[in-house]
Amino acid sequence: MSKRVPAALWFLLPGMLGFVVMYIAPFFISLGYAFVDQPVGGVFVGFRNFAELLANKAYPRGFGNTLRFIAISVPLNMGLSLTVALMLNRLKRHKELFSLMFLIPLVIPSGSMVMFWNTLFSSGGALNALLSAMGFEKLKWLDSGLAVLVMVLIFVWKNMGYNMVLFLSGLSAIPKEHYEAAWVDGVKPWQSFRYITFPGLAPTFVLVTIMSIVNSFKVFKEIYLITGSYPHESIYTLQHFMNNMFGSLNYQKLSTATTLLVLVIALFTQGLLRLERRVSS
Amino acid sequence: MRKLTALFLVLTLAISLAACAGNSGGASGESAAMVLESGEISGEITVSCYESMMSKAFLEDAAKKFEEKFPGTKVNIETFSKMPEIQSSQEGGQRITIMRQEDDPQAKSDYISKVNTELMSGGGADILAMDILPYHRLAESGRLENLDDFIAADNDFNSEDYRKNILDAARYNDKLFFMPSDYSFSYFAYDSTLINGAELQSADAFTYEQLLSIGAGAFSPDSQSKIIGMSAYSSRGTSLINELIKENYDEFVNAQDKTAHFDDGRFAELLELCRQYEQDGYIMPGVTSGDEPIRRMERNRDERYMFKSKNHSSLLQQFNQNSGRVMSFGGSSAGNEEDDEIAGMPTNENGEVAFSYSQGYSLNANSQNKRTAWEFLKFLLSEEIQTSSSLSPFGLPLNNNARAEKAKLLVSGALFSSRNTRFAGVPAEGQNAGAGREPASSGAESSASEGAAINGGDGEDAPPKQDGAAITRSEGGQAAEGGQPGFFVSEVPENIELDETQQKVWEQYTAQIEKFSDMINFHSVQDSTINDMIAAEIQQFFDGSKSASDVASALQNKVALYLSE
Repeated sequence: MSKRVPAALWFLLPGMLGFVVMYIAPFFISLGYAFVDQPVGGVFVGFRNFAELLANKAYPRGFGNTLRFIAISVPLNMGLSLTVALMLNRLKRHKELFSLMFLIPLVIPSGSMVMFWNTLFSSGGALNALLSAMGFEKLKWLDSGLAVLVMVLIFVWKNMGYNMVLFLSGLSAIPKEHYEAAWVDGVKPWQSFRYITFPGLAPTFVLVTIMSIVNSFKVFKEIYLITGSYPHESIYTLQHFMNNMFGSLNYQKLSTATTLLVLVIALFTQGLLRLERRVSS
Repeated sequence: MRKLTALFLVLTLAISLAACAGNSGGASGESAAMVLESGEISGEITVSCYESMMSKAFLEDAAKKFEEKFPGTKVNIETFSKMPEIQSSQEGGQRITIMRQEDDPQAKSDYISKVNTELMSGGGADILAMDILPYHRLAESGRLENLDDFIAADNDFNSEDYRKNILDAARYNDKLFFMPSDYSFSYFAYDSTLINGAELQSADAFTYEQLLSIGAGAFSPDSQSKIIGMSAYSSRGTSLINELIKENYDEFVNAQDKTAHFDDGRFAELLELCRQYEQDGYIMPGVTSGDEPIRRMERNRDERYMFKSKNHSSLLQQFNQNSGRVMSFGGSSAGNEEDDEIAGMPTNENGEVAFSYSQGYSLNANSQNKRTAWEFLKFLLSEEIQTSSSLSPFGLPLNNNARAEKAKLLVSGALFSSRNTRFAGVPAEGQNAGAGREPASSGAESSASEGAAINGGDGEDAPPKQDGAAITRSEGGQAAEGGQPGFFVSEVPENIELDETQQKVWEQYTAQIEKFSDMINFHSVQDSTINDMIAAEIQQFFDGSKSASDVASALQNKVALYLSE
């Protein structure tokens, strides 16, 4: 075995070198910026940047909004996509057609969809026209607390297909014999779900959670295109903060925010993986 | 696998540390005095500026003269924006030349990003022009030198030669980060056939609301004369709502505390007020579509407005009415100017009288050749360069002697290539001068820079060939001997002799200019992000999609978020 490893290493080296130099090293360098006071010729200042960041008013709001959004949308998304996956699993015919229907939102480019969302939700848009035709007052979809609902809707609509596919593959990995044995024993459907499907899906759950959280950061794209750099304060997320810091060249705040984010995500992922190991064993 | 990961991490750590170590030796703690003593005036410097229309020719001319004065130096000029398109047509006996430069927000933000990146990575041009760059941000992050130190350390620079109140107003946090090479302001004039001058004697400065209330007394719905020849709202150019917002900007945005106060009611009140004035007929209705500048000028030329805001260059016409030379610098809101008298300066409730500038220069803190750069900056402000023909004639030179000399040139008409020149629409920075707050850059408002000159008749001192030649020269993109393409002569006569009437005009003109200039005490720090937010929201009010209180609360939200970052 020790004779094979060196050969593999040589083949990996060019790719790894490129990856390290272009991706990993700049990542750590920019993490380093969080500890100096200026990107060029800066002096080491320890944790002062972090203290300033937490004292800043916009950052905690962005952080809180991001957490709140993840807390609402990830479980919702997972629940919905699990339900759809379970239903699709039962289908005998046209399984591909229905899967396609849920996958199409994923492949439509964000820029094209933004026009549609705008037409639907803006103050003079279609939904408001419908509401006033029915006699209700117009609602400020994007300019008030309702904007969170819009954001959740966009996220769920776009990413349900992704999770659904993951769940479908997870479901197909559960051996059919378990279900047949349970049926023979006279087990009710919800019991078979709870004792067979759920544990069988545990690794998939972890994967889907992580992917959902990652995708929840990507919803920034649509929100930014619809509402701009400074949306209503209820949908002002971390990505808005970081984007604006980048635009105003405040690299200190940007890299500090990024460092914190990386830390949080790393801890969370570690926790999730440990949980999975405990559950599936 | 564990060992591989460990090796991997060590490798990246090593690379990062090496990179960081390389960077930390950058900051130099040289003081201005040290720079002046030790440095030599030689080597290469770069001057970077966005605006090309007026500045390119001027800077290149100055660069050449500087290189002649100090051999061994080389000054590179970089300008970014596209040169304006020039159209000319002949109508009857008149030649009409239009120089139009469209606002290009994308090019502007590209330029700002480019300069920012250069500065952040330790480079950048030695001298930066502050026409569109946000100098307060650069100053806050320490990218610009405090010029006060250089002024104090350099015996050659005589502060007495320059207008002190302008330099004081240009300070930010008590430090001078840029030097305006010229300044301009606008003033209020009134039509003496419509308003009794006695009502205006009490004060030297007025707010827009004061003017509107004075005018309301004399206003009658039957007459065609509006109180102010300005639209309630315009998506391009000046409008009353923009002026009112500028006047009261301090109430809405507190830059020190980083708070916004748009939803106190005052902002919505102003929006409603503008609409009310529009409906009462005091002002012109809102304009949402762009109109051909020449046609607008033609239409408004005969209208009589009670009050008008004019660029300081129009003061010359005030005293020059009998010289037989028609030189009008009015914007399209000036209307019929035959019976205009001077009212006073625009101000706001805090007594702030603002100025604007067309070009200002800063010294980059990263510059490797600060001695030469400082010398060039001084040179740009010297009397020789400030009197040269290539300095924008629409601004008042900061150098006191140059200002007096330039005034002589204006009065004698030696600057213009034809006898009767009527300007309509001065470059944006002149047009947008208003009470209280001024846009720090020519592009802060979304208006195009329009300079149109109608050269009327072929007087004895302007053979037609010269006009044609002027235009040909400018089409080549570079005025060979300096000078503004299209309108002005290229070489300025050395000694101007004024006859008696001209002498009197000159004295009155300079006295008025100095009197108004003395009142200037303020320069606002414009934040283009906030301005863009305001512009986008008020557009929605004036086209009817949002109510005033909605606009106010939306702005409150956005600006508060922006300031709290």
